[in-house]
Amino acid sequence: MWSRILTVLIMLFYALPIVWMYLSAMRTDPDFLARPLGIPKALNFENFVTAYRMADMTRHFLVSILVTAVGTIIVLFAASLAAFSFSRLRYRGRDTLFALFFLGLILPVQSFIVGLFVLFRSIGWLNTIAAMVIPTAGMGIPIAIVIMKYYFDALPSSLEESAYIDGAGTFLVYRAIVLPISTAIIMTVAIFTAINIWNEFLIPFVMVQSERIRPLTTSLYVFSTRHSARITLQMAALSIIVTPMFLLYAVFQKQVQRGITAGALKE
Amino acid sequence: MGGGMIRQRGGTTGWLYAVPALLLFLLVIVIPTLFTVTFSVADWQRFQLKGIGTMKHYMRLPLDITLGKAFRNTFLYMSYTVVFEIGTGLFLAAIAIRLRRSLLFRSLIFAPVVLPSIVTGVLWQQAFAMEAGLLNRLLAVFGVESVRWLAPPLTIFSISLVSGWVWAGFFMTIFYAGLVRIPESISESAVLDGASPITIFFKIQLPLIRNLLVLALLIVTTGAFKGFDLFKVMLRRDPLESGVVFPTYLVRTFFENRNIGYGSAISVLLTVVVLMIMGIVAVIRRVYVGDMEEY
Amino acid sequence: MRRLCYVVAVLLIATGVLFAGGKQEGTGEPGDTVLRIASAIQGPEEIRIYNDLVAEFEANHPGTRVEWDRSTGDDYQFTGLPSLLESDTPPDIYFEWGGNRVAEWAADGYALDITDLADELRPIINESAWAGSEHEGATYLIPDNQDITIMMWYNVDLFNRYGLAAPDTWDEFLAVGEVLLENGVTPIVMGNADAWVAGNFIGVFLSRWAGDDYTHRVLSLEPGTALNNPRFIEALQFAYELGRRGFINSDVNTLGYEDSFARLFNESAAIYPLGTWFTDEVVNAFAEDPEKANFDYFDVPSFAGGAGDPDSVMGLNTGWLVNANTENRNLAYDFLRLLLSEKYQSRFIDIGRISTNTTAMNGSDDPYIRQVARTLDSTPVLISPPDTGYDLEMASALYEAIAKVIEGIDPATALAEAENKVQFLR
Repeated sequence: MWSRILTVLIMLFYALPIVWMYLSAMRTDPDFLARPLGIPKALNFENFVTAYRMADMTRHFLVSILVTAVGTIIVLFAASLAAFSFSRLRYRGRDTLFALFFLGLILPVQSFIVGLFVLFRSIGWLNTIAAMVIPTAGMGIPIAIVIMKYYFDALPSSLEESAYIDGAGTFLVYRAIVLPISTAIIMTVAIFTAINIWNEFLIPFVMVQSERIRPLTTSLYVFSTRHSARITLQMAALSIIVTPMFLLYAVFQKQVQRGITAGALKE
Repeated sequence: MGGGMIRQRGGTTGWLYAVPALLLFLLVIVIPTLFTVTFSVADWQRFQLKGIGTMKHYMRLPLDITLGKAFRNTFLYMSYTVVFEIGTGLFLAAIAIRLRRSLLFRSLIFAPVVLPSIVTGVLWQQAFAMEAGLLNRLLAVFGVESVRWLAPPLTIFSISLVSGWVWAGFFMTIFYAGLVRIPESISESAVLDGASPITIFFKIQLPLIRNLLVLALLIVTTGAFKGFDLFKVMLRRDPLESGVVFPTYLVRTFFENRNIGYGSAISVLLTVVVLMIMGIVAVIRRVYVGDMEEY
Repeated sequence: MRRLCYVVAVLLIATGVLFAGGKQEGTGEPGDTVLRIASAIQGPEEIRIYNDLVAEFEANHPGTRVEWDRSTGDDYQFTGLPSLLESDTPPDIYFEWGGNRVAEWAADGYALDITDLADELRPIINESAWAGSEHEGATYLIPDNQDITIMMWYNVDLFNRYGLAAPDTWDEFLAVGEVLLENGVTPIVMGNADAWVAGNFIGVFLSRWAGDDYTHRVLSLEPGTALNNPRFIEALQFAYELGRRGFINSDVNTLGYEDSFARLFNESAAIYPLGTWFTDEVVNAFAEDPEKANFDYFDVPSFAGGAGDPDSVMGLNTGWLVNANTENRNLAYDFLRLLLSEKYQSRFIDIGRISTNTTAMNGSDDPYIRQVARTLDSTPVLISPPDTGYDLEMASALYEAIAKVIEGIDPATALAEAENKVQFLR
């Protein structure tokens, strides 16, 4: 009974800023400034339309989708191959290599952002889509490898054994046996990676300056500094960006939760 | 490890599988880090390299008062977030365990994790606003005066609050996963022995998830050095330097002042500090966690 | 399920290819020459004029397309422009504030020596506009706009309500402030979260009190000078005083620039120290009912006893640089010629900007324009704002000190910290 009340209170605290955001988005500035804690008198969607158009959201949504999709695919491809080799194959330097990736897991991005900027500048890749995709993919690989490797370790190798006995090559085993039974973990890593790439702010902030190829995160920053006086408009912009994420989360929440718990328990 | 033997496969070509990942890793992390180390002893003038082999940047580090402030702020941030993220996460996990159907509860609390930090930053910046902010208006309902949330001395505290709102759910999920695996029988026998729920929690359940606690500690301590987005969005240029932390100072040094050499030196220092903290946590792990018994 | 994933992947990659390919070309024929221009934030009125300009330019130069990149003002100055210049599609023409920044770009090889174009345009451009556009004898910047950086803008209705007149001297100013405070109005509002608003404002005091030449030498970090010199400490006392009396809004250092105007417009504050571009903010905010906008300005109040000119004005020239590596030099020149023409400059004057084109300026009878032009022409000294006229790291440290002083930290301490930060630059 006690815990019932407590849980409701806690859930309220969590939901309150989000609810406030949605409600404020449907009001007008003068109305909001007069009573910031009020409820909209009518369902007013004008702010949403204005914000969407002013912030050129279609373009930025597309950029984010592109960067996230390509980045995630790259991570899945590279990480699953590498994790497979760390878990199932034996070769010289295997363990050192794995340890190297482990190190990459904990290195803060500030250690290499400076070098990254200069490197990309000298190749002439600054201010491009690649300037966002490659770093975010590179940063997502270590954690993906670690999660997948532990997962592969826990898989029984009997199927692979029989395949090898039948004369199958290593790559075939990877493609036709290990991958298909790993769809769950692949999904989880995909979702995890996609969320991280989608939410990335520092990399696009540093590497991309053209309005044209800005992703959602930095374009929202620009938008909010430019129009910070128009509070309800900002709330509308936030709502637009956040709603598809919440919807996707609602659909995939089980996988997300499971992925985190799995990663934690492997620790 | 999995049942059955791992065959002696791979031999000379096994490493090929790791090549794609390795290439990216080299390109994105290894080479830039080496660059950074090299730059830290280089003499730059804006974007032009003038020479290599100067230690002046490292000599400047201990004399830099802003860096000292960044250290203080970061450790302050770390302390607050340990409480707001781990402490709260534990508390929430304890509640979640006791609920019969906790999925809705856990999903809602976890939801802020999926938000881009820029969204959280803009939203909470508005919530902290002096006049039209959510918090101050709520306080006004109870007749309490407005608080200057983002001004010193509350700057770091307020930002930590936001971090807590976002990440407590993440840690709750981790702790919940550990707690839920503890067999009922253990707590049941404790109840029979007359133990209160609180004692059970602290003396039995917590120690059984101590590996997760240490993992959480690692994440929070190293994460405190990475916090950029929230600080940048909520404090802008931060003329009072009340919320200056390593990442913001680094970006400012490198991009605004275009001091690549010094910025690199700060990066190197930052990396060393993070590695040291990891070492400390590793020691804690060995001492506190040791060999965890399976349950 | 697997098949679905493949389909989705293919679709996304296809979108990507289309998108990536599209981002280079945009609309227009693939064979077009692209002239790239970069500038900081611009208001809708301005953009309208620039769009017409671009349209006419493209019509005069078939086969040429103009791409204009506008980032936020804050990011343009620090991270935006440098990154754009380093990218593989750098601008051919880019906006800059005259002074130290121009000299740096020129010295680093990012700006083209355009002395020939400058000489061509010299007859139609105001003499004083060329300050800050040169480096080692050559001209790099074509100035099209002059700004006074600090004018004390005030809400005329509020002043009238309490029977106040625009103050001339410091003491009169303090008196006005006290009356406002008594009536529950914050005398001065600033949004200093980005550090330059109060930084520029208080920067005026430095020159006026410590002397123009002396201040210039200190800010240039000449050997033997220090930021925490006695004159500067005294100069900042004025700012300290303002803070102590409660003349400035208490959240000045956490309030954003854009948010701060609301306080002036809704009459909870009366005065905003800002430059000529204040008119843009008014125009934008009162687009619906322009009659309601009743603002005027007075110059920064003078005080006796200073070593500098009591009526000195802080201002600068802004204009355009041409990229040293541009492949479209002639196109860039043509564009700048068109931009500086009377036809377009008079339109800028109509929206409240001070143009450098003398013919256009003489053609305007707007009293505000005339007044500002007179101020600019008659001032003996044009002080440069610290963050465009001098080293950026130094200005950064100075602005932080100023922010602290108006928060109530004593000037000696604040300046000592600033000096500590700049010692590495000497």
